[in-house]
Amino acid sequence: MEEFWLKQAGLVRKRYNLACWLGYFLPCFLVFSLLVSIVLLWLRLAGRDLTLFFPVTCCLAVLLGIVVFKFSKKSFLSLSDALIEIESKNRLDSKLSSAYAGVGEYPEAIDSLMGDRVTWRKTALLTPAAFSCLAYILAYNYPVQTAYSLVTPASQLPEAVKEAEALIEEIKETEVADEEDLNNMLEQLEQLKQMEPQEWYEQNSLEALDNLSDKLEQSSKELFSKLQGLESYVEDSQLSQSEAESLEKSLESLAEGEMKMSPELRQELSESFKLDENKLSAEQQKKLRKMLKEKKDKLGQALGEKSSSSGKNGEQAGDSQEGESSQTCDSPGQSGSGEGQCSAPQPGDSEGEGNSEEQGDTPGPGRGGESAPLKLEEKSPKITSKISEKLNSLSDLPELDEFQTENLANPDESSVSPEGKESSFSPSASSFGGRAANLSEFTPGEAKILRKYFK
Amino acid sequence: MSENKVSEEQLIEAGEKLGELRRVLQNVLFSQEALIDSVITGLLSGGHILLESTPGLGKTELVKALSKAIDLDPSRVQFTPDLLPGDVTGNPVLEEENGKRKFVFQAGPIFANLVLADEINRASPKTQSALLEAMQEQRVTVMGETHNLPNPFFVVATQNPIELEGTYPLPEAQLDRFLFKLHLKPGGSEVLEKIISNRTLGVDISVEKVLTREELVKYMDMAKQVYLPPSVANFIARLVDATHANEGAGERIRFGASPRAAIALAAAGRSRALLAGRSNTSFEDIEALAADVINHRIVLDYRAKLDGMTGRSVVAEILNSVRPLNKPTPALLQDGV
Repeated sequence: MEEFWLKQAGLVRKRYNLACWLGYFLPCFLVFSLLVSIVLLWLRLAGRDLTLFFPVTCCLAVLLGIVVFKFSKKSFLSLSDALIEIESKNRLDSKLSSAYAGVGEYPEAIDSLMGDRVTWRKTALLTPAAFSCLAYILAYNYPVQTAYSLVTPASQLPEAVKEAEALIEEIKETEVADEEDLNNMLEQLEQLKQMEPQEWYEQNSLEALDNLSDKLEQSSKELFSKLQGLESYVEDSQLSQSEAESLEKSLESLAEGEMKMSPELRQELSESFKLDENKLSAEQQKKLRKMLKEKKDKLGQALGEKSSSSGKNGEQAGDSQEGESSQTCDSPGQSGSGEGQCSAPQPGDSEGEGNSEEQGDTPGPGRGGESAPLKLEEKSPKITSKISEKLNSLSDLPELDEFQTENLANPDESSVSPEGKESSFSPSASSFGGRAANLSEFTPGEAKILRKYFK
Repeated sequence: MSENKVSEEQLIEAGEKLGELRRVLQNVLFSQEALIDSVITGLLSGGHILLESTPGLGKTELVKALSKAIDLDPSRVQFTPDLLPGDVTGNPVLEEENGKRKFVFQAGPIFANLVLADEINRASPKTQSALLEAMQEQRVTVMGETHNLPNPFFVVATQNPIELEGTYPLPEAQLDRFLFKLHLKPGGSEVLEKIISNRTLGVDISVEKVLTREELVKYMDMAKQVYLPPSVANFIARLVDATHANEGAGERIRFGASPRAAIALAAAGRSRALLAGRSNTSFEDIEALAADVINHRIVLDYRAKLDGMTGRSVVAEILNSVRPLNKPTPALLQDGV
């Protein structure tokens, strides 16, 4: 019987000691978990690397367990204590402790021991554990704005950097822009890339990237406009005095701005635009037309390719349909005001007229609005789309009308990507103003009225 | 390993003999098994008993039956206010022998193995003190001569709880000299019917002798050798100490039990174990005896009295709060039902 009772005492002892240890450990662990959760949250907010956090936390938890074990050991049951516990609960007349001390015999085994009656307090046991887990889960999954380093691989560059780089390379290949300016921009991008991966997504870095992208957008657009402007001088062989002066200014302006024209091209254009009593010879005209068209097409193509590739985000529905049209006016209704305004100086336009491309044609929210979490909104599509809008001459009303009504009539057959189509009816879309925001499609009646209106 | 001083054979023999004694007394006092066990336990412990009951419940019969069953020399003292100490302990009497006069000590009723001190609270404090001193010292000193009381010496004192007029309640310090304070309660109609069927007024009950005086002394010695596990000793100590605590049930006690209470509880526990034929004292023994041993040794607070609590109910509360194991149950475990 001795073996039986000692085994029972061993079991009781284990259970009591475990309960005793857990009784001390769980409240400490709860406090520990809360502290660790706060630290975890703080690290995520600070965008710190968490590689070492979890092993260190585990080690600390183990250390806490050991300290609690040492502390709670004085409350542990010994084998004789366990025998006393069994005999007192089972009314065994202290026979076990007496027998253990060598007085008398161990009693006969009994079926229902105290161990069967003692149960765990599940609520007290599980509550601290549950709260600890909850604290960890919340701290780990709570959406933190600057916690890019936690969920985004730190080595992954912001998409906008890559896109800006690609665009600069494209422009460089056209040999239209001054390589030095482009290199400057590349250098600035490189500086951003050289930063610590954790800093890529910090506010100041992202703002710097935004500024750079804006600068690239503005300057490339400006360069394109300048080329277009020069093209208008080639139409007539005889230029008025004012036109000749304007041409001279235009040629001079090629060496100004954030993105200057390449010196070679500038030189070539200056030579080609040499006027003889404000006249351009037929040969000059032909050569200039060819040269300007070629350069403009190259630049447009570079920007247009980016534009078409950016259609996946749907920000510019229908951008790619018009291809490389040289028209640069916004379509009616594209802006919030519904007015068609030219954004590029057309022959005969005065300076500044129609330069309202910022007005209403980019009604979509800014960075972060529709982007996937922890990913910059694609900036370059916005840049290129604006340019491509001008390139694609969306102001051509009959064409637009036809295109829109075609798409409305046959939404499935539209060449617009599904995303693009969807977003064209979204608040960020550049077409139809706000009214289209709540419409998934137009009724035939509505389409007819719109068609009539645009005509 | 502790040496068991009481052999298995001795235990069996003691168990049988004491069992016989119990049976005999149960035939005299019906339906008072607990009281009879307490009386035998007190006897084995060498302690004295204070019985509190209304008249006519069988106190005298119990003492008579006990003296007959064990072949003890009984005596009875009816305590009255005019009883003098000498009436209890004995007086020097002037005698003439061979023409010379001298004082000869004439032993009082206290010189008996089994003394029934009836209505002890009616005697004056002086007389009470004389008896209680003799109970404690087991000897009497008169005129500079010390006279030892017989062995075994066992006092069963009674007091009537309903008549307080003209009584001198025993002081707490003297109550401490009694091992047990027991309450004899009347049985129900079934018990009464049994008494009526088996008793005739004025006729003594025949009680068979089951134990000799020597055997009783032997068993008293044996009881002292019963093993008291350290855990049980610790339990007794914590129990008595709890009567001094300023928390729980201890808050309701003005004066807690003395160390004598702890010694008495241990001795009573040993005797109870022997009565049960066990070689060791158990928690159960202590729990069963605690109220009888402690209830008259504590002085309750006025709050306890206002709440209608008695010494026994306070001890019961203390028993509930003191665990046999001197370690708390972990908070994460509970006793399932």
